Amino acid sequence: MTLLLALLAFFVSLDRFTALHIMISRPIVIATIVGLLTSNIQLTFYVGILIEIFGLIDVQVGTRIPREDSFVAFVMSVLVGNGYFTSVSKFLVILLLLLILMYVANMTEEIVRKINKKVFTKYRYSNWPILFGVVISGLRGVLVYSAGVYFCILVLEYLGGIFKHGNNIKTYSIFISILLSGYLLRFLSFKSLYKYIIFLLGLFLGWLIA
Amino acid sequence: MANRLNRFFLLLRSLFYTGNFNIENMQGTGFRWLVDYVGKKGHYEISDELLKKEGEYFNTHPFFITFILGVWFKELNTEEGPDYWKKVYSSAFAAVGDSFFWHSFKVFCFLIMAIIGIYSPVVGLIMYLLIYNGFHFYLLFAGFKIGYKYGKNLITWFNLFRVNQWGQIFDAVSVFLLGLLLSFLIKSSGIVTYWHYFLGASLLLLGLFFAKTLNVVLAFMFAIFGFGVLLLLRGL
Repeated sequence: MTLLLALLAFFVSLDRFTALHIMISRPIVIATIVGLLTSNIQLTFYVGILIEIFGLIDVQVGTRIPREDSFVAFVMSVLVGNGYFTSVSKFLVILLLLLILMYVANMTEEIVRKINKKVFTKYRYSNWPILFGVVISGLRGVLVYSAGVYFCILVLEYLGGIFKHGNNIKTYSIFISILLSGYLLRFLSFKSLYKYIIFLLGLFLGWLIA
Repeated sequence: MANRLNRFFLLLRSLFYTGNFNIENMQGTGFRWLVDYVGKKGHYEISDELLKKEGEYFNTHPFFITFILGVWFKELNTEEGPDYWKKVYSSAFAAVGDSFFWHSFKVFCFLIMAIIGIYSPVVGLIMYLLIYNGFHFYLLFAGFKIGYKYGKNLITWFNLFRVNQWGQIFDAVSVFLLGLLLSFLIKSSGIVTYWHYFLGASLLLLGLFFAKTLNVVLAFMFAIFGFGVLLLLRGL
């Protein structure tokens, strides 16, 4: 299991910033794969939806490093999948913590880019910096994502008997997703009036057929 | 070069050409690597000087790299040279790719996956990867041939399919799917009391309101605090 998760972390980091771009770094994909590996797919899937909606409201343009939603999704999914959350309050505390740690994860990607630049400057006409970049990016994923998981487990152990309110993580994930959906709705570029009519139509139709 | 086997290997290589992505030459190292590969496979005569020059600054959307390579080789021995068209198309594709793939198509695929995934997450996952990568791999596979065929007039091929309108069309469909997803999420989870209905509607309106004024990370953090308080006071 640990090896498989490390392998997944390697490819997620690679896919996110460096190569492949086959979308295995999307939070909902990570959450589903981790759910499959940990046999807790129903719960990780809803956590994946929550983090995906949050992550979608950000576009990767030029040199800008988008928020590391993959890191948040990976750590949350591993913890949820392995049953580390015994209460909703612990889930919320860790989610909050990860939103802060996400910026640290972003900084590690900046470091990788700086290393890539140094390697390029030194070996300007060689092709091996490509392979080096791929390996270092994947290793960044293994190190940073697993460090995130272990750090959160330590925090959860420290929290121990406190923060033990609530037990329905799925419901809380859905309601926070609804709040963030307002952001996603604004994010989608379409004529305002028609946008809200189409949205309400979808909402109504969904209510009828669900 | 246009045979299927070489294009398949070109596709594989194009998945890794961004390996040395950095703020100095962006994807330049990878572009030179691909030019070198195609040049050798296609028996093109490319001087060392020109090849070295291709390692300089280059940036585009990675899904369109093979199109640019096709144009580059088509224009290799023309008066204007390949680099002029490389610059033109790389910036154009960066804009088109970022706004379509990173902004619109990603949202569309997520919503498809989420809706299907409520009933079967694995089927949803397969659909996501198939839809997204079907398109992605097609562009990488067919790109060189199309780019080489049209050369500097490549834009006419894209105009045939009105690519610049795709983003808006997919966004409109996504808006509908988002409404559908929210209903599915609430109903399939059995949270259909008046209290939940009121809370859900209020949260959506709050999200719409905050989206104009507040950074999404801060909103997310406030939401976590808010739900923490709600959890202590009442629960869901």
